[in-house]
Amino acid sequence: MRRTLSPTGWLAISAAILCGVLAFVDYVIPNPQIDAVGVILLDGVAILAAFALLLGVLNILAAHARRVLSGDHGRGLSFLLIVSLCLTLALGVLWPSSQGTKWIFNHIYFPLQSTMAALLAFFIVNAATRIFRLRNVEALLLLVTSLFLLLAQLPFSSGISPYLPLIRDWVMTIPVTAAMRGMILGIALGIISTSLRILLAVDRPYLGE
Amino acid sequence: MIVCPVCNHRNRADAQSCASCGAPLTGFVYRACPSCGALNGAEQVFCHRCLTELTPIEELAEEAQVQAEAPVSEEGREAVFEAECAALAGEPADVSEPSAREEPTRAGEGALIEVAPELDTAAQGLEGAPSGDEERESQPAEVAPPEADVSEQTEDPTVASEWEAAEALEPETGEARGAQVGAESEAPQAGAGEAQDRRGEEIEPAAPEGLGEAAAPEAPEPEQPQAPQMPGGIEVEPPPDEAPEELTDQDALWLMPQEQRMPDVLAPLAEIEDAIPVETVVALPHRARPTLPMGPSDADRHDAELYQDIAGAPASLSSQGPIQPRWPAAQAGRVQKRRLGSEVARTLLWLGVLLSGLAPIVTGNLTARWVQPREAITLASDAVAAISAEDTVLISFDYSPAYAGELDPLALAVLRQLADRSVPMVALSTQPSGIGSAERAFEALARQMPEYAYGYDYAILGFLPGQEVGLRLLKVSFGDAFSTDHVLGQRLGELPVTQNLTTLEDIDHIILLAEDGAVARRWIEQVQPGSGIDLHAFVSSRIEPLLQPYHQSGQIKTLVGAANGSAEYEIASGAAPNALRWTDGAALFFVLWVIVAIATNVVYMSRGEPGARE
Repeated sequence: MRRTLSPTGWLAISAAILCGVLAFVDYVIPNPQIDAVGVILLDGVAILAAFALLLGVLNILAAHARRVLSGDHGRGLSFLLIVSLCLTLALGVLWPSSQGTKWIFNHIYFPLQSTMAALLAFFIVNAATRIFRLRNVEALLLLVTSLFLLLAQLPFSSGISPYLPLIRDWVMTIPVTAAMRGMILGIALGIISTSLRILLAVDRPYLGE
Repeated sequence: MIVCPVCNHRNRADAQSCASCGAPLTGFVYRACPSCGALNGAEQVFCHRCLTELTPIEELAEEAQVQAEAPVSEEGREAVFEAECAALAGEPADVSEPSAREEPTRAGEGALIEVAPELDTAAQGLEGAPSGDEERESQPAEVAPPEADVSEQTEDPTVASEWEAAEALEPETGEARGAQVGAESEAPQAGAGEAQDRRGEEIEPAAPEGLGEAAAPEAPEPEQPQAPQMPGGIEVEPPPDEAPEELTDQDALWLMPQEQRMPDVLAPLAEIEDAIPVETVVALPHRARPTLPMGPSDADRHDAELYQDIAGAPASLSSQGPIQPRWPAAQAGRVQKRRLGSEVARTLLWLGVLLSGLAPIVTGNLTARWVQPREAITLASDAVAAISAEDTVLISFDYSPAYAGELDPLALAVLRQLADRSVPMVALSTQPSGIGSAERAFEALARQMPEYAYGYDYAILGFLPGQEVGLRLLKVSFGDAFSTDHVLGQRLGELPVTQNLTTLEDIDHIILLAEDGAVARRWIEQVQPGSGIDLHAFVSSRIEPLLQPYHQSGQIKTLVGAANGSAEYEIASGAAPNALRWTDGAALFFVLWVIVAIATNVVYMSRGEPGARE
């Protein structure tokens, strides 16, 4: 049972419904006045999104600073995180496109991200040793399908067989498209349902409900 | 069998009066189970120990009535009773040869009589149990009157009358009383006497489990049977000269008359209201003994070993090392050997992945000659090639460095293709790390084409926050989304390439370089509808299937998957080979997958692991 709403709650619900309806109308009806109101709303949301990002950064700083000050396990890594965050933030704010910022991105951030992504190849192969065990018919189907599609996806598959690219295109065009269409329709219906619930104040995430 | 509430003698189920003391058996308190001999309350339908169904009281009454009316011979009744006793003792009833039966010890009968004066004490203390064969036989040995003739003792329906006569005599001692009764019973009928002997012995089954020493069946007090008391933890001191056998609490409860049970049972709890009667709890049937669980199956052992391997694998950041599992000595060697083999296989596997990635350095593009662009790739290349120098292209670098290895070659090929025709390009990103990818790509382009200048031919607008909202704002008010560029910090109107950009409609083509399907869908849903702008998607192969419906519906004009389409696009567009140099690595990786699939199943089948037979 929901609790009785306070005047502040009613105000929040009214504002949410009004803004949602305005944004929807702005999307559907091309009208200069409505577009102007829509731009105001969008500007406000963009500013809020930027501040939300800043809030996230401050939260991370606070959490790791608390760990450093309390002397918990991993405080060394937390201190390193705080130092790197503050340094990068200062460079990005004070000197946005400076060489220092580029150096950090090209020599620290880019290699680390690439390395983490490359590790996936090892884990996937390790997982394949367990997945490819022919315990039942489904495992056999999985093995055959995966190997065949891997072969078809190779850039030089046409050199192996001229039919491989054709089969690959057919698979992408017919079965995969059909499956993805169903999934996208389901996602869209879910988005519509969720949006209606918020517009009609059935769900009130802004009130914590 | 009905247990006499007065003397605890066990009588036939159809008896109306006690064969030992003659007391009426109507309203009896408890009866013995014909299967296991356990004492159950009169109202119980099932034995509380073995769950045997007990004859309802009404049927007993009816049977008694029928037998009372029917002219049943004494022998017949005796035979029925003997059969009942035999079943209770677990012995085949020998009804045909009554003479061959064993003669019970007269002491048993004597004990019934001799301890009659002790009935008060025993009834009060209720410390004895309905005796079994052993207890009843041992008890009579202590109190048997020497002058009693055991072999000739009888027990027939006339015993009740004998007891009545005995009650009127008022014997001085128990022995005299026993002798008196014994003397009065010395004229038995032949068959009945022997049957009585047999019956006397078989009346006393084995003591029920859990009972303590059974007390000797005691003769009732002729004048006033004492109201028994519920032990309930309260110990009653036995008489000084002859302590009665102790009864367990459970049996003591059954010894109590029903009408007296409740008040005495609750005597210690007299002050407590609504106390639950003990008989309700005691009368509950016992649960069936649970079956022993079966041992683990082969599949269970396999799963346990697998879990042990996973749990015992060393953590990458752990300073304590791997957790060593504890295995039985017999299995320790086999497990250790298997784990060593798994470690070696895993190491070889990872070396194979590493070699497949490094092999293109030494193989020299052996498989590049076999790369032929597909029709879809050729069409995509032609669509990009159709963009003229008068068109302005908006490029969105929405991928992180994690996918730079896959998308950088394709992005560079597209940029080169556009730069060759001096197409003005404006770049942005809806991902914070995408701007860095954009800068890297344009720096690589600038090294290849130094004449392609920033601010004149291309510009980087920067990061567009807000996801859907940012894209919506980009479409509605381009100038509000970006006021300055990312590299120089100048207003868009001051840069030649962006001075004419006021709204999104000033853009002619949008090229999307994305790793995430959600990002691509945002562009499709927020920007493309109603704008009439051609959207070209060069995406990671991971999300290429997700965008196929949009491509087939015309919302995306061009769709290329980077993993397998980069090399083909470079050939189709004539761009410098970047992805083409790594096709050997893709080939070796595929070969590695085939080896893994074969080796895994060879080892799996050879071990005969559980699940292989599923």
